Amino acid sequence: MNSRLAKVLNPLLTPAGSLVLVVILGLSFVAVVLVPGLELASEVADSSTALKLLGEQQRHPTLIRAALESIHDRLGGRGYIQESVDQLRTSSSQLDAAMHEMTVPQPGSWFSLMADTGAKGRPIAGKHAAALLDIWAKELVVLKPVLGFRGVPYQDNESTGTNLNEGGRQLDRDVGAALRAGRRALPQLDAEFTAIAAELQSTNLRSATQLRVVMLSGLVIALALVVLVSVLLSARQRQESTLRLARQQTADILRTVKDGLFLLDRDLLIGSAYSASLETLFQRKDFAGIAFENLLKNIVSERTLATALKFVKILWAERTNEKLVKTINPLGEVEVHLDGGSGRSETRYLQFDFHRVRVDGEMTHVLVSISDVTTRVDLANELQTAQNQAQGQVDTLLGILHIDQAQLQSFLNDSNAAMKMINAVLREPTREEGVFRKKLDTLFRQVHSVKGEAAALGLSSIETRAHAFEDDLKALRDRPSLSGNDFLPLVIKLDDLLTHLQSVGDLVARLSHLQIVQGDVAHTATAVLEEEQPLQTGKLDGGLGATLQKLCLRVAGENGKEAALHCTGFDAVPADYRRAIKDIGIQAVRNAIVHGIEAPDTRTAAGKSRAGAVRLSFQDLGEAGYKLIVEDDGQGLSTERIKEVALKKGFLTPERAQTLDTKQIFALLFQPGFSTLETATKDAGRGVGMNLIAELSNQLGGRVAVGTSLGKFTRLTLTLPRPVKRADGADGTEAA
Amino acid sequence: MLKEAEIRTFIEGATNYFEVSAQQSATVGSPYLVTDGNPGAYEYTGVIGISGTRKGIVYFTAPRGMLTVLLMRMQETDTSDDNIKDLVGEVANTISGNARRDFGKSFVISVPVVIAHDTDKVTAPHRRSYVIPINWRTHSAKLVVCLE
Repeated sequence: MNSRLAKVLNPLLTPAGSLVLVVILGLSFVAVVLVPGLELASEVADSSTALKLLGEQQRHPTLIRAALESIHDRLGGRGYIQESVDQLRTSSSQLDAAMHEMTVPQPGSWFSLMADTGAKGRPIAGKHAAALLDIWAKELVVLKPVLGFRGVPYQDNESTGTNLNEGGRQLDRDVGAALRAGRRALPQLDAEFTAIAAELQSTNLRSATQLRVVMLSGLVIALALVVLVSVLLSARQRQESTLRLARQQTADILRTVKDGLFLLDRDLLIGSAYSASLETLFQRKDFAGIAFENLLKNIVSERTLATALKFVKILWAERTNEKLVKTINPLGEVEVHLDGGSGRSETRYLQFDFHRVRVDGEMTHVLVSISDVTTRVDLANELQTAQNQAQGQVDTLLGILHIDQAQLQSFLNDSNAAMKMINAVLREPTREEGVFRKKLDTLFRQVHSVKGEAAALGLSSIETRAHAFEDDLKALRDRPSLSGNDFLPLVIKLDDLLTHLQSVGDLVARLSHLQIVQGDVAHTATAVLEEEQPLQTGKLDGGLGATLQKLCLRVAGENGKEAALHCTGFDAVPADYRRAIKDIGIQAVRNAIVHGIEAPDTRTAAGKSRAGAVRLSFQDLGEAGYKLIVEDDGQGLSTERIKEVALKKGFLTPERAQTLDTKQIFALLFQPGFSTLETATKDAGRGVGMNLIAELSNQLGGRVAVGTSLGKFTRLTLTLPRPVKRADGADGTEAA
Repeated sequence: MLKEAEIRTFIEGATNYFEVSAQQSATVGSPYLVTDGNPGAYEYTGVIGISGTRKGIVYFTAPRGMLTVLLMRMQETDTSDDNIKDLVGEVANTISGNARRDFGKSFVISVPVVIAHDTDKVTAPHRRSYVIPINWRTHSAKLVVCLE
């Protein structure tokens, strides 16, 4: 029942429905109550007025008869008649006017007058009008001579006294005739008046009754109206209360929901209702009425913005399949960049979902919901990065597992120091070409030393990077002019090397921790001690020998040669010389194998053993210092070959070549960039190794001598002074 | 790892400004790395924020002397603090414009922000920055690229 009532009332409870209903009821009240009521009231008033008029006229026939009789009597008694004649005239005149008024049609009701139809109502006398007029007309005919009398009806005679004159006699006859006619007509008139009065009273009574019925109906309708309006108002109030509650709940949802929610209209403008979290998501306020384009402008790339706008327009095209369109949503997971102040921008990842909103089957809006998926995306990215790093670390780990921890740590320390040196050299303010070129030489030596040791340890990932750095250095060295701009690739490679060294360092630290956990305390303690105090032991551990052995085998293998390395006396290397001796040893061994030792077949043909021999010996000469000798039983040095290469590469002019002695020719070997190899390999050919040896020797205050016999041997002899003692008793600082 | 072309675009933006505004080219010193998160700044700095493929900041920082001479070279007699700030902002804007032209869709670049006098306010978001000295006449400025 309630639901049926609700079904009927619901359309009426809308603002428009309520208004229509009230107008209909109001018009009905006017049509059913007010118009007929007014008409009836008018009828009652008219009939009352007519009754009053009739009442006034009913006395006139009596007055006329009385006047006629008075005239007749006074004529007989020769009395004064004028007063009675005047009475007759007045009554006749008033009755005549009343007759006219009662017998002409009365004006219609105010309603018909308003309508200006020209219609006339019925006369007061109604159906009696004709009879009334007829009777009165006949009466008026007999009254007319009496009414028309003027003058005196008497004449005086001395003999007979006062007598009627001719006029008097005629008047007497007329009065007699009028009285006779009046005896018949005046009662008729009276009867007609009585009949008319009865009819008027009847009409009056009917109209009054009808008016009461109409008023009663009006009362009923008004009561019904009041009841209906009360019901409507009450229902409306309930509806408004429900709406208010719904609005409150919507506001609560919009204020609390974490997702950004808003509606887009056909012009892609944002509606006035939106969730509060939009302000947090977009770090701005006042979204109502702004264009979707402006919401995204400057926070996503131009390409994404253009695609997003196209997408939303496609969504508005109703023929397209919503599910299909959603599969191409370009804002499914979009990176946005919000202004974080001070020129910084904050990056977030937002997920936009679009839903068509339909009302009565017609699309009215697009509901946009936005959620912040930054944490999820960041986690996914971190996971991916961690996976990539883990893969890289596994590769690096496999490369360093076989290396002694202490050696590795020592290498990392040295390499990081070399990188810092490289960066410091780059950082020196420079404007002149010459200074830029000098920088190149220093950088070459530093990176070559790192590359050499990386190669010796078998750290190919570092060796390859250092080699690429050298490639760039070589390219710069060959340029006719240099500027700071040209050094940019070097800095990028330096960044790469530093990052890689850092990751290797992290791995080494973790490995060290792992070993402690495993209980290999004794070994780790030694390693840590050596890491922390490598310079205070005063001796080089056996690692250098092993490193050089590995280097020897690898370089020989990669160059198609066979070689055996013999090291002696390295336990006497003072701590301050440790790195320099290591770098010199590495460069010298590589040089010996690449340039000195011949291919096995060549050696055999020359009557030598297939495998070449390289000997390194370090000797403590007491106060005289130290001596490092590197000797190979290879092909020896050819002064002619050296001169030829020097001429070809522009290190010498032909004239100068003629004047050089052997010592000066060998000195060419230590020039930066000088190499007898045509093309550089990982192990030689850049002209850095010998230059590095000379530079390191110079830094330590030593001398380098070259001895050779063509086809038999080459020997480098480095004579080094004893390290200078520092005030605190420790040896002097490292020279690299 | 930053790409060479990306840094070159920023450098070109800075040097172009001198070339066009002062009709006198600036030279680039040898670039270097700062790994302690403090690349430093001169008295006036124009910062642009970058996000997208790369995240971080790029700033041009110069001493007052250099910027004053640059203004004078540009026939500008008003060398007030405000005018110098506008100038350094313009350099940052040119760098930004160059980057927009070259990277457009993959980089999102903020409007330049000028920081004057308070060098401590110029902070790098990452530990490692590329510093490129920009030399003009006898003066030196720095372009700092600190991107992830």
